[in-house]
Amino acid sequence: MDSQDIALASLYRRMISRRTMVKLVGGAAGLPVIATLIAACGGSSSNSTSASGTTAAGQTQATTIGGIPTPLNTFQNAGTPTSSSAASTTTTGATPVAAGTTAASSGTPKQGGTIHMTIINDPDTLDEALSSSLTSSNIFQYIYDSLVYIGDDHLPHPWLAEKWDINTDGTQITFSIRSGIKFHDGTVLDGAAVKANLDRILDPKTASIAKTGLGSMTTVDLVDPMTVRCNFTAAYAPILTNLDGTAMSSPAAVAKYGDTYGHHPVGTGPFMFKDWTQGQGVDIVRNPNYVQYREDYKNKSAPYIDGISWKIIADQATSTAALLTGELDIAGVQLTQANSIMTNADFQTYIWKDRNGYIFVEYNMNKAPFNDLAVRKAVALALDRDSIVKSAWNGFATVDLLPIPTGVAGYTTDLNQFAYPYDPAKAKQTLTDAGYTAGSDGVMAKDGKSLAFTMIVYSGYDALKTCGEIVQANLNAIGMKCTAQVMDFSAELPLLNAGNFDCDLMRWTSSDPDILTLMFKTPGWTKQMHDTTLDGLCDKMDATIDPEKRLDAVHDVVKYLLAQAIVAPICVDWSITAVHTYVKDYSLTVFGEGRMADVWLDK
Amino acid sequence: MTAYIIRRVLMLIPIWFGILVLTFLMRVLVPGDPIQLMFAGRFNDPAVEATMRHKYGLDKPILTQFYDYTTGVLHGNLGYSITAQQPVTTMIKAHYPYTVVLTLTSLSIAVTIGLVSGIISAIKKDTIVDVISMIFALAGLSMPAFWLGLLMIYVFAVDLRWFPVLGSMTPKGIILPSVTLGVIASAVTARLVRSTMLDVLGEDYVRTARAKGITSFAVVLRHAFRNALIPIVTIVGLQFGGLLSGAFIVEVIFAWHGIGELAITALQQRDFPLIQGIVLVVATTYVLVNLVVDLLYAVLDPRIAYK
Repeated sequence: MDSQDIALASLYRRMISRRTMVKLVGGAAGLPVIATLIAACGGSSSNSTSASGTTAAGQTQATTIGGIPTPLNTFQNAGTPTSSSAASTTTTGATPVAAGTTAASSGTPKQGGTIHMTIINDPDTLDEALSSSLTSSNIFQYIYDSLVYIGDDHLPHPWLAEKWDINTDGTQITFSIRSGIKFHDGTVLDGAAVKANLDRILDPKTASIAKTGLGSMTTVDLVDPMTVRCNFTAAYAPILTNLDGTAMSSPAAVAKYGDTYGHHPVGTGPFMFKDWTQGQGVDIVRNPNYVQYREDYKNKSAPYIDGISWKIIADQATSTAALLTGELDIAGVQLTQANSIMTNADFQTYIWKDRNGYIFVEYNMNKAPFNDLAVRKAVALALDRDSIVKSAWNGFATVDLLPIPTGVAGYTTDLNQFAYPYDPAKAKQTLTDAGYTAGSDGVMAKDGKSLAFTMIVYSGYDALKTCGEIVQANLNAIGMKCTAQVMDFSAELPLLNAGNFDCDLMRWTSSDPDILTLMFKTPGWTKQMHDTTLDGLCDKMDATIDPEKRLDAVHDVVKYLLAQAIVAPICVDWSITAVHTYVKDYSLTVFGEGRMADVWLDK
Repeated sequence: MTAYIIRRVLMLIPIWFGILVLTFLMRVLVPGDPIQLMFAGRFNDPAVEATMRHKYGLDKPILTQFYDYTTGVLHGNLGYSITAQQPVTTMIKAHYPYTVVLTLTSLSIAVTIGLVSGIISAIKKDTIVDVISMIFALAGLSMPAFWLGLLMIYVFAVDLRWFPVLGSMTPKGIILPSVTLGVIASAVTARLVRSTMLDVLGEDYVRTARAKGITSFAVVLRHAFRNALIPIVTIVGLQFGGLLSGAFIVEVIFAWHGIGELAITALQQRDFPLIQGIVLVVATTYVLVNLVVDLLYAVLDPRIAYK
């Protein structure tokens, strides 16, 4: 038994920052064997007949509780949703899959009760400015409010900021702060508090990982007691997405606790921090004075539930078992368990389909064979994405032909005409046209160099491993010789950064179209990119404030990525969350977060 | 005797230093850089990265790092966890009691089952009782702990709902993980007890004791068992040390927040200071338990005199 596999997910989860990050694994990886075993056991006695275990695809999905806290995408200012985002609005998030019961929303909300959920490991710190852990960000959203939020229409809406103005060149954003809001410690949220929070992130001495999310913001001015102006050196389009999730901490508490503030977080959110026991979990309690300013919440006042209690559970199979026994009220579900849970009348299942992350093959384009555009095109054409989705993800994924996730603004099937759908004959033809001929060993070769290479697949996510096997078979079918190498992500990363690889199977998540900048702009996330044309297109995209124009700029980047076949996109894997039916009025935000301030317990 | 103990304790110093060197080397040899991992997928601000590297002392030469580490350890400072942003000692202190409690409960179960079934098997050699008991022992030896753990969860928690899935420091919450570990560990003990007891029961002095008319019960316990104890203490001691090192997989399965669970998380995140701290503490415990076992021999068998 390879004990290393056990808590892999914790690694991958913590890679993700609050708002812009790589999301490498769909969620908690359990021991693959364990996952399969529990699946074989049937999980719940009432549905042990559900087909599972026929494929090796075992891994969990599960961004527990509301999934990844990264917003999908957004455009600055108000405006009508674009066609692309409108398309995903209908399916994003709150799509309860009825399990033979009535909808979750019914009756008059009752007060009381605690919701039990799980986190995969200890938070690093509950100070949002200093945190780099996804575990922590699962908690931040309930303690802290932000200036703006991204609504179901994928556009920014007022929250702690009543309104905002952006000047014509996008170098100044002026926020009017809502009055009458107090932090949990009783101090007032005003312009000075907002400025203090932003200044703290901007201060290099803080070494805040959130600083990059503020882009070209340089200074913050206090215009009047309730008005704050942020100054930028250049227009930075992703800023409002990133501000949804930039926590507003009580400056008094930050000053009072100093280095230990991360263990005494104070925000303005619907829940107040109560307790964090190292190695055990975190408890928060309702904020009785809370007023909900977000329009996407039904409950406009304090939460109905008394609080939320997170227990640390590193293994996904264990959390599924605890969900079945009612020790957990809400939990992410593994692929192998999805069918069983979805047909279980005790649960309501929520599937977040149009997510902001996707799976793809990426290359080291600095050396043969992937410095050759024809080879990259052939790879993209050779991938049988329908089979991959069916076999590796049991159908719980969406085929994606574009180098951008389906849930990120800018995704539109209109661009599929520039993409490379499965066509092995055309893939072979592409290689032949580029001068490759079959060598004596049957492997295509050119100038004495055969198309033999290694593809790295990171371990811990079973579906991805199966995906890698199919990709390997697909590529070998068109005359390549692909060897898959599975390794721990922390061992893979140094190889990528050193350029010591041929290609790899990767997963990335980010909320904003700037996912493309993060991945591909020089030096790229692998540090192997250097394409000035692409850099220019990314810069233009990030500096275009106007929603419609920005969408065009995103499309330009996508088209260029397709023309150069810089990655071979495969699919968007879904996030599945199961909720006990006695949990009422549960819903997911556009970013797959559970609206816990709306939830009440009927039991 | 005293001289032996002193020598034995002094021997711990080079062993312990070896552990220190090995745990430190592990950081150098294992691929993966924690700071790089922290920044994977972010806009990489070299200044911030350098600050981080400096903060954890990773920018210093290896030998300096080793010197800092060693002096830190000697002052009771195991460093600062990179991922948890907390002192390593705080984290180990939070998790270790769980491992200790689980060790004590599971070892009690293991010793009880092991002794009882081993002694009965020996006395009732080649009867149906013996066969059944040894089949169970064989099953226990062959079963992976994680498999038994999952079986326990499925049967007793999910299906019968007698116990919670998630382990906790309550009578109900501790039973499943303890029984899982205890049953597995009892298998070795039972087989060993049976074979050593069989050896001893065949000895002349046992036959003499019987001939003198001493009750069978007294013969078994006072005469035979005491003499069979040394190998049993050895194996139980090893099990004790092993369990104190954290039952990695079982702890994870039952969400038991012991040192094993902590170690796995730390490994995955390449949290070197934390890994080093855990390995150091665990190895030290193991070495100390072994020392105690060695010294126990003399107590159990006065004929053993250390010189």
